[in-house]
Amino acid sequence: MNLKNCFLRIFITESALKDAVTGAIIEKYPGRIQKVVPDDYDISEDVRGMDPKRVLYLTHSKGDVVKGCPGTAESYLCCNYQVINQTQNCPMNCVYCILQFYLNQPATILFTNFDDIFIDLKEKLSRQPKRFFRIGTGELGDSLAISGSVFFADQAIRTFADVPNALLELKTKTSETDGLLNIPHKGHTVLAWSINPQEIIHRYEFKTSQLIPRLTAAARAGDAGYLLAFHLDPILAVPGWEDIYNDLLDELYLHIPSERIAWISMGSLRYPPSMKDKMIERYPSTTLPFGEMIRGMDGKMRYARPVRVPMYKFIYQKLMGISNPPFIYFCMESRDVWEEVTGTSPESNAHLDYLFAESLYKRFAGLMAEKPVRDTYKRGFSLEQIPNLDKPEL
Amino acid sequence: MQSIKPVVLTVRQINKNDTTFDVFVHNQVVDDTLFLINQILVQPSENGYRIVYGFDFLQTDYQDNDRIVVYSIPESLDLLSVLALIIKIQMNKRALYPVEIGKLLSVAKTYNIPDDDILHRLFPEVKITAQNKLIEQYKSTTSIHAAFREYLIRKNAPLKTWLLFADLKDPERKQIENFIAKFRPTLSVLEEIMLYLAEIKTRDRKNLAAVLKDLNWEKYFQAGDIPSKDSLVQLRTAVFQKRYPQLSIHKNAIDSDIKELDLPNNAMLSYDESFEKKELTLQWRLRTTQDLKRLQKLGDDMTIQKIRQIMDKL
Repeated sequence: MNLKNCFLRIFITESALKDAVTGAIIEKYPGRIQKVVPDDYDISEDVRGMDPKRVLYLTHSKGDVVKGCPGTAESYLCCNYQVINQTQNCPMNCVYCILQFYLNQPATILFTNFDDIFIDLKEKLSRQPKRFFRIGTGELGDSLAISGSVFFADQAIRTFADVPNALLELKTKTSETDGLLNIPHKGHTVLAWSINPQEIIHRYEFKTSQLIPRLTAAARAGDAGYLLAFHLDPILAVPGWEDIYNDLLDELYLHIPSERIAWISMGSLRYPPSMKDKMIERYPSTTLPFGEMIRGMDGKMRYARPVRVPMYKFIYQKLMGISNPPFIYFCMESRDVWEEVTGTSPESNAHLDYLFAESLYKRFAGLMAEKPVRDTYKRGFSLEQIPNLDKPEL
Repeated sequence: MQSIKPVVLTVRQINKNDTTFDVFVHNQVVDDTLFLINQILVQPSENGYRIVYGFDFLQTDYQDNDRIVVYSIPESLDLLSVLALIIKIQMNKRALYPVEIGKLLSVAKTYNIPDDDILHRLFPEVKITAQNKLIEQYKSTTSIHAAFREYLIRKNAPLKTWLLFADLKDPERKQIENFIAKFRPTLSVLEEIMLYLAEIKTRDRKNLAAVLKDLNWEKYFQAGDIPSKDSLVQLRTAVFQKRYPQLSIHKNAIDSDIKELDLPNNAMLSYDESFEKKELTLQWRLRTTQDLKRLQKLGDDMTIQKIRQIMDKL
């Protein structure tokens, strides 16, 4: 995987020009055309016809960068995850990725006002001190695929090291993570890898690291004391899925001791209906859009339950078939699916959020100052929402 | 726009062989009224005048010596403007069929009109969003066989449906044509079947002939005594099963269990066919005491247990 030359043009807004990190970022892309533009300048005409993945736009954020994950409709359970959208877009090319269709912007955007973001983060976290948050940077782009994201990750790890009520999650498909190993993280960062069988990586995840390099990078991160997480998402119903997912899970537990794994998520392929035609147009030979998909209760296309539940069951049983299995959850699944696969289901998004905290408290001594109380999670505010400060936190 | 002037010409003066602008579907019946409200537009050319608009009207039984009133646009008017003009005229009558847009774009491409001009001058006239990919898509509709073209026009099918027919070649084309002739399917049914066939073809990396062979397509046309409506249901089921094999197995198992319940005709047990909701809906029309007794019987242990099993299986 070589993402070093991924940008052909770089735009820097006047406000971003003042940030120390801006210089460090552009040094990583020598010889690229750079242009300093006013903050309100629209680059659309300058980059007309160019792939937004090949254009980097360094600027300051406007509005909430730290906020709740949008999740999906209430008919499916979500985990009350929080996100920091510092990087928006990704240089990798995964056939199934919603970002290439969802992000309607002419460039890959990196916010360089790190200090503002961290001040905002700390202020928001301080509003709900008794709740333990999981916060990730990999929602609108890979957490570590481009240097601007890595610079942010470096500072975020240091910042979270001193935040008592949150874990930072850096989610990636890269394997070049060794630069993070010596950062003082104090156990408050989870390095997470999105994983799929090697056959699927080869066919559908272009410009990403291969499976074994991802797992060996994860193993090194675990050795450096980081908590780890893995996201089996999207699980794809391809012919022979049992064999390839079986091999994947064997490899996972061969490389990674389960006691280092904070959580593992499972989610099957899903996308908005309009993405189907776009996927076919962009990847004419792909067969992914022709799976047994139905329109789910949230309006997104997803594998029919009789198709995805057997896959979940297979994977779940394999993941749980070890001593001290990690916390396993579904991303955007219905209570029916939870019950069918695991025999139980969280009662609500807030309950799932609490179950995370409970698992972390039980499994990782010293991570949380006190035992989580379920009532604290019932209120379930996202970070950008302002809780009613008149009422004391439960 | 330079001025357009009325001129009186004999029919002979108009070169009917220059069909550059013959892009619109001809009206089958041209009556007097229609003639009165429509005009023929011509443009001076090397061989007299070429028709720019109104091929329909010239189809009527004019003799070469007949004198008719036509409107002449300036010779200097460029092709892009001419195309924009005739689109505007035609759009006053009705929206264009995809094949007409395809023909217009083919003319533009033949005369090397740049895509940018097509997108920003012609597309707004046709009232479609300027997207590059649409140029080729519309153009591809011009190769659709006449039998399908007439059907799609009659059904006022959208571009997406037209495209399902764009690549059909003999002998599969003939098979699909037979299907339409035999069953006269609604547009939705035809779209469904064509879409599934296209998706199966791509998913299984087979050509359409192989997919039709797998489906035993011809069988549904030889079903002697079976009314064609039933055959159509069977054919749709077969295509669905091929497209959604696992979902079909699940659905068949549930349907079979519901059938075993032997509910009376005035009752129906249904389920969410996407299977996202794991629930059953029971509808029971009550009219007589007998209906009530039958409903009461539903509550027996055996039936409840069977329904429980169906719910678990859902």
